[in-house]
Amino acid sequence: MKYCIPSPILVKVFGYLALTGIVPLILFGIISYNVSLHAMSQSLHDLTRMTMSAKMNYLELVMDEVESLMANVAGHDDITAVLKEDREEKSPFSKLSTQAKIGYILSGYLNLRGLVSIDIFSMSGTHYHVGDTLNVENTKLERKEALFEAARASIRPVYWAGIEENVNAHSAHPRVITAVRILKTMNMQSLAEEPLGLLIVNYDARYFHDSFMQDTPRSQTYMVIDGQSRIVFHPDRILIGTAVNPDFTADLLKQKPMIPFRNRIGDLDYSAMYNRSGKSGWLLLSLTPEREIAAALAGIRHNTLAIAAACLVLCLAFSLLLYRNIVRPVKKMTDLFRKIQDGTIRPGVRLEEVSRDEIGDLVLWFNTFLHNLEEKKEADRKLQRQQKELEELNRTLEERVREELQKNREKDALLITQSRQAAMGQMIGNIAHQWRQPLNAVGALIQLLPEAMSHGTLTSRYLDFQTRKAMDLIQFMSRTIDDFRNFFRPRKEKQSFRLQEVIASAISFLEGSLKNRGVLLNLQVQDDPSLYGFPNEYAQVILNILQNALDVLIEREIEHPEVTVSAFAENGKAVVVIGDNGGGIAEEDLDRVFDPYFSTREEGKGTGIGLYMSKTIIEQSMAGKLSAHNTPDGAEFRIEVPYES
Amino acid sequence: MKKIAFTVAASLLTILAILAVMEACNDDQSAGPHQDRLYMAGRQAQDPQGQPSPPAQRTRIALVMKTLTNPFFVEMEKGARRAEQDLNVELIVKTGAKETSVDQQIAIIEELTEQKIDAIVIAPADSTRLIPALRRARGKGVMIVNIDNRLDREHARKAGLSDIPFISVDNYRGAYLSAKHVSGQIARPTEAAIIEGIREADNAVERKKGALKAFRENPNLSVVAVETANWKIDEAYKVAGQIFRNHPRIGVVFCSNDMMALGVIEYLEEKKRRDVLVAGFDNLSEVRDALRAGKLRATIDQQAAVQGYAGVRAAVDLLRKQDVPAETLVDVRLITGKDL
Repeated sequence: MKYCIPSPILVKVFGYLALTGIVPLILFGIISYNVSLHAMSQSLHDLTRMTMSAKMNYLELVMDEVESLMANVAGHDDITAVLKEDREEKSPFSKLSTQAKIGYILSGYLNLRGLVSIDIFSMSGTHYHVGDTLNVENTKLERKEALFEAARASIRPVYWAGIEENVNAHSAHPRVITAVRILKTMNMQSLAEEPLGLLIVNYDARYFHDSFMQDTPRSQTYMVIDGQSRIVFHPDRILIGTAVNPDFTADLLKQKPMIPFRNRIGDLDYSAMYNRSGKSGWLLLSLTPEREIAAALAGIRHNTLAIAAACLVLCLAFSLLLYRNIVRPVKKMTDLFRKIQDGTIRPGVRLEEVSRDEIGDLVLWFNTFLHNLEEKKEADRKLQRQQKELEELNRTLEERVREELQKNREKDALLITQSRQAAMGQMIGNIAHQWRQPLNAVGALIQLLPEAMSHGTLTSRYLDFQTRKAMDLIQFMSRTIDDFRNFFRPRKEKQSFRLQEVIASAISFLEGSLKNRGVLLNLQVQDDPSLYGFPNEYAQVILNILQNALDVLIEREIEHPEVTVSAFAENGKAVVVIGDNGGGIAEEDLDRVFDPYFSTREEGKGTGIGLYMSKTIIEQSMAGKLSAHNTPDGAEFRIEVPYES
Repeated sequence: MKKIAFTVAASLLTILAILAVMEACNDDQSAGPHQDRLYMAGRQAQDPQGQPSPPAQRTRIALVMKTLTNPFFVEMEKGARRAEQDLNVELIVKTGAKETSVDQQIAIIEELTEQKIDAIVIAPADSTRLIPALRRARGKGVMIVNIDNRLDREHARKAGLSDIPFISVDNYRGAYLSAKHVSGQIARPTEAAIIEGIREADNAVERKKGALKAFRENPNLSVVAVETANWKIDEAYKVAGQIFRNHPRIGVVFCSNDMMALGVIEYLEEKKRRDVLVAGFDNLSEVRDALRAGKLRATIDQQAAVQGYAGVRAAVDLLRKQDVPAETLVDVRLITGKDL
């Protein structure tokens, strides 16, 4: 299963998420827990201190009231008087009336709330009592004696015995908070204090419990412990009157009052604070279970853990989403790349498009890439095939070139032959033009001879004259032949020649034809530079161009046919411009007029060689330039050849 | 670069975590004193609840008596306490300081009403003046039982308290028996005196009537003085002085209770008047010596404890919605020196 192997990027992303999300959260939770704990402990301590002092005030207030009551009773003259006249033997009347008398007095003090009883014992043991019962039988005298001794040992006028067994057996309150005071008188003889009796005030422990309990914070336990480690007050009433561990009180007193400290009782930790009553030496103690504070803060803990858990789940979900939307496509892509590398990829394989985000784009482009790759492969295959064909072609090329070359040569030979034949034809034509008139003249001369014979005018002078004339003509014709032969015989060496001479020579060949056709020739020769090259060939070029112009003028039947030949020197070049008014060359043909076998004339009339030969002669043999263009009237050919300086 | 940043962040977080944990542990290191147990009581205290332990939901019944100085009421309380035990109720005993402390009784009733007591068993010092306070208590749902001294019937009826059960002795008959015992010993003309209780108290009136009837039945007797000492011993002593100064020949005295009889006896002792026959009421333990010595010729045991018991019982019955007889009379017994 590949899903079991966590992808490294997934692990990393999960790690980062956890590190940036959950760890700070937990840290925040811990810190806020501790800060809250501290703040809560502080406020709890403040609350405890306030409650402690309020409760201590209440305790001391009750003690104040009781002590002031006891002081009043102790200072009551009637009571001291009765106690002074304390006698063992008494009549029922005096006993009852004294009881009544003291009873009335004490009854006036009984309205202090929470008071159980006020008891006065005379030294002889007479018991005066007011309180929650009228029945004073079976008084616990040993308790009374113990209290008397304890009060005697006390340095304070009122001895707070603590939570004690009630001396009155019939009281509804078996355990009461007891304060004791010894009633004294001054012996006038000895000037010493003598005890008159014992005043015991019993305070209701239950009433004290209920009053003391008020406004007690719920989570805390407040306790009042008397001098003998007995519990005077405890929220749990059952414990009132029972003792606490003396070690506990001993340890308690080692701490400073009103300063919270930690106390471990059994398995539980408490935050404890105590204070000591100045009147009684009793301890007021508060215990706060620390787990209460912890429980109050459990919300922070639980919430933090819950949010952390939720974050973890979110991280997981996000990671899975990430895996599905990013990691898996990337993995697939990697897989496909490997296949591409291995060449095992199947054509037509595409990635599934997951989302419309960057990854979606990536997938899209990857798919495009795959598509292009396939196309490229296809093209490569084609190219390879063509390469093969090309190589094949290359192998056979030499042979073909040779064949073509051969063909070209044959063509060229043919061309040359044709050209020569054409030249011959033209030469013959020109000779014919040249010869027609002298032949006619010779013919006429010859015809005149018989006539002269018959007319008898044939004299020797006449015959000589005629013969000389005929011979001149024949010589002219012979010279013409020579001229043509010279003209058409290519010269092998370059030589210097005059431009004007060559132009005149070329024109002379066509003079007859021009005259016959009525073509006007304008010759404007301004300069006569000396050229170095092949004069016959040069003349042949001029002749060729003139012939073409003549042909066009005749063919197009121009009304006032005219040919202009200008010769001048320009920028170190001898320029000959030959123009006509034959209408010019068609624009589309202008580029091709120098190509071989190109002719605009009717089939059979033109060879298509003339201008090609002309261009070859000017540009290749004489390093010049031959160009053609149209003028408003017709065509114009320009021959430029560098002249000798 | 990334790795460094990551490492720095991770180590910072780790340090923070360690600091936080250390902070959390910090408090634990300052350990205070330690005890295995706090309470020495055998019962292991549960966690303190922080609330007052609920007071025992027992029925609370108050016994309101007249004075804390008359042993008669000590007996009455004893009987009531027995009922408290038997019937499992909580008994609160309240008394006025003196027999005349009517205002104190009123205050006691008001306070008990305030404390939402369930029932009040009252021995009223005055038959009329307590009625408004009792009516208010009744209005707040406090059950009232009248003992010892009957509330004035007319006033009680007007106040809507006519259904209050009454438990007492037949005071008239008791007084008659006691007075009859001494009058029976008179064979020659003799002056007689009656020292009565609080005049507004019904039982005082009844006792006076009973005594007068007994005295009038003996033609030799002429009642020369009817004075009140308000049930009190010391007052009776003073009143005796006045009577005997005015009527030195008085030979018979009926006192409406033993306390007053003891006051009269004290006076007669002082004056060495051994010839005067004194009759009392209540049979206090303190009068036994006087009975033996003949200083007191007769008294009436009105079974104070039985009255106290019956009063609490009636209150409990009322609270349990049971029928209680409108009037319960406890037997009276004549006690003379021969009975001891």
